[in-house]
Amino acid sequence: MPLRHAVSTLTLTAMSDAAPTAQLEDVDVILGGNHILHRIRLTLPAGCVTAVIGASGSGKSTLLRLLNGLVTPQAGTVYRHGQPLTSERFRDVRRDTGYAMQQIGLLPHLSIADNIALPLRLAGRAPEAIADRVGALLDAMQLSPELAARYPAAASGGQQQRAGLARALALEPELLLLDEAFSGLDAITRLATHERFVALRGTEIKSALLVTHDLDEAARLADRLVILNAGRIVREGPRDDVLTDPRDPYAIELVEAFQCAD
Amino acid sequence: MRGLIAALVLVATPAWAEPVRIGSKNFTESYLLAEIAAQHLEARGVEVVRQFGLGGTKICYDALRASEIDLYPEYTGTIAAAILGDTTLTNIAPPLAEQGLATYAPPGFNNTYVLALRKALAESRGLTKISDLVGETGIDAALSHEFRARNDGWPALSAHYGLTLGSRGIEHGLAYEALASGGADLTDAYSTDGDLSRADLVLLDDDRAFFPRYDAVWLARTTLAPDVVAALSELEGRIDEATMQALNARAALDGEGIATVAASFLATSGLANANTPVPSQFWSRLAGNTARHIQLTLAALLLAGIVGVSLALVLQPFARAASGLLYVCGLLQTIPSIALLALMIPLVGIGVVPAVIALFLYALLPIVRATLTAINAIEPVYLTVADALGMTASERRRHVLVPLAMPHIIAGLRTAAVIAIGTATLAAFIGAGGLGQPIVTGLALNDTGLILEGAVPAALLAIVTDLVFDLLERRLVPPHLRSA
Repeated sequence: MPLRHAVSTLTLTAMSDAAPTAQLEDVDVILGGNHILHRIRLTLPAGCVTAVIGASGSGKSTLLRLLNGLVTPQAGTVYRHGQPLTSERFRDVRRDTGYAMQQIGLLPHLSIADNIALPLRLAGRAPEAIADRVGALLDAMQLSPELAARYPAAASGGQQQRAGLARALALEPELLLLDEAFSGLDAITRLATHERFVALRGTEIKSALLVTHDLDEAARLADRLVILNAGRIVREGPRDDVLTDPRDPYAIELVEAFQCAD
Repeated sequence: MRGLIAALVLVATPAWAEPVRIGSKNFTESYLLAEIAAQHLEARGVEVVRQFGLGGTKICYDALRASEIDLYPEYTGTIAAAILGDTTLTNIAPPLAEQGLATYAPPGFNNTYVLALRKALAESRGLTKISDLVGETGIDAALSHEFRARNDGWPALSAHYGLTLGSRGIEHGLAYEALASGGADLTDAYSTDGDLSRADLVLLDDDRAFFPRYDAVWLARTTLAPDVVAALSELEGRIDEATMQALNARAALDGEGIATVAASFLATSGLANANTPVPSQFWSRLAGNTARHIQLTLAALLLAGIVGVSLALVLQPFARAASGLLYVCGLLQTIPSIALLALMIPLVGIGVVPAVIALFLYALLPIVRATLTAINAIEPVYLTVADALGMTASERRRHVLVPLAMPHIIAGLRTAAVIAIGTATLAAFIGAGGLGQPIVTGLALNDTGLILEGAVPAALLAIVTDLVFDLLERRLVPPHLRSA
């Protein structure tokens, strides 16, 4: 398991001093009569990559969407930038939060470059600044300018996902949200995308919250792990602590399955 | 609204002295009288605007009252019965004066209704007068729609004479052919109809004096300038029934143009001076009509595109409002176009403005429906993306909704455009011109060439429009998103 320890421990020590990127305080979410999340308490330390792991239907995507206001809690409070996240703040907070998901959602009528440029245009950046930033993002994501001139339909799944990541990172957000962002990719492309992610840690990627059903992916990319079962956090902590001492029965099962597969 | 449309259509209005606007109804005699007046006034140095072929008594009268035209040829009996609603009226001047209207310079003939019977049938049964029809059976009466419906028409005539014959409606222009081919036996006719002099028909004597007099007159606004009144009075008493019948026959049966027949009448009457205007040239007429047709359609389409897409975008998030909008647009579509045009006259007069409004209303449904359908069909992931990027409602419309709905919006505009090009041919009924002008005139004069002069370019225009929309789609929609 060489990749498991690839993340530098420097970030782990730095993170505790700064104010947390986001916090969830006793959050309950009920959607269409279903109680999706129960009393969630979670802190996302600055500079840290946190992974939420759980089965489908465990509420992990809902948890992620709380952080940019795509989901509003029925009880409890979401804190961003140290203040409760209210609807008046959605616009500002969303522009400081990158969001990438499995379906990617590149707009089909725009070229890949224009998709990446869209958040910058919305933010009113000057054309030269936009061109520079798009160029830098294409470099960072290893996308060629020829490819960037094409429509998304003409790009591969991996290229589209990297373009989606570039769009999410365009405004240099404080927090990056990844909702099963790598799940649709084949194994090789996925591994390459993971490497991109790790390479951009500390530069393009500051803090991140990623949601996945795959503990292996979580272990490769994250500093902290959160295990979610049926809408409740059953185990949370630094990656190695959780992996060596899962404690909760569901977490134990999950970690054992992961080690067998390894 | 009105000003906006006028600006959109870029109607050129002359800056000098007000021209006299002459109207006519859409049948041969009305065209001829109006054209005779127009040429005569022009010869006397009066500038004239021709608003011919207006779709019937009501449209002419409404246009006159709304001061959209200054005069048109009318008949005293029609004024009493159809306009003032009182057949017993002996003096029509006072009620007209209340409306600011008056009659001028009767040309000198009485174009009353007559009943025309197939000659063979009349002779075999010995029928010569209307009272001979009492008790007769097996006579197929095919009457014009207007005559069957008028207060002073068929029902009153039947009551007056005690007739028991049934009847059916037929387009007046087709009645003579129906009688000639034996498809019908009896029809109503005007005593100056050109066909009467040539068809095998017997005119039944009105022996119990039912029909009132239908003396031709100029029905005009009392604001008519004195020199115009003076010029009209030169025409007074110049046209008797035989003359009118002959002129009608030349125009309707021999296919001489209205302008030609009018000019030759004026010349033989010694009224015209040397510079009688020549009839307008085919190509310039065609270009003028086509240009006007495009103006009408384009203005309506532009308005409907802006209003329709905006309404759909704004109301789409509210399901009830959106379906209400569709319902209203659908309702507008069910109003027959000629009725919608007629309803428009009291509100906005005749001409380009009501035509554009009517076309605009018809164009709304395809555009609104296409836009709403397209937006509702947008994949939810793109809406999530719009939210996650912190887009405002207007940014979302501009960057996500409209571009993704564009192929459907263009398809809706294309449908609306083709409908508008077809419907715009009816605009001629309310004096808006366009390619409907030769069609309406051709129908009135039974002139196939004239009908084709409007119908063929209208069809070509529809095809060209389709191609233009192909180009538009090529420009606005990337290849992989284009509709099939």
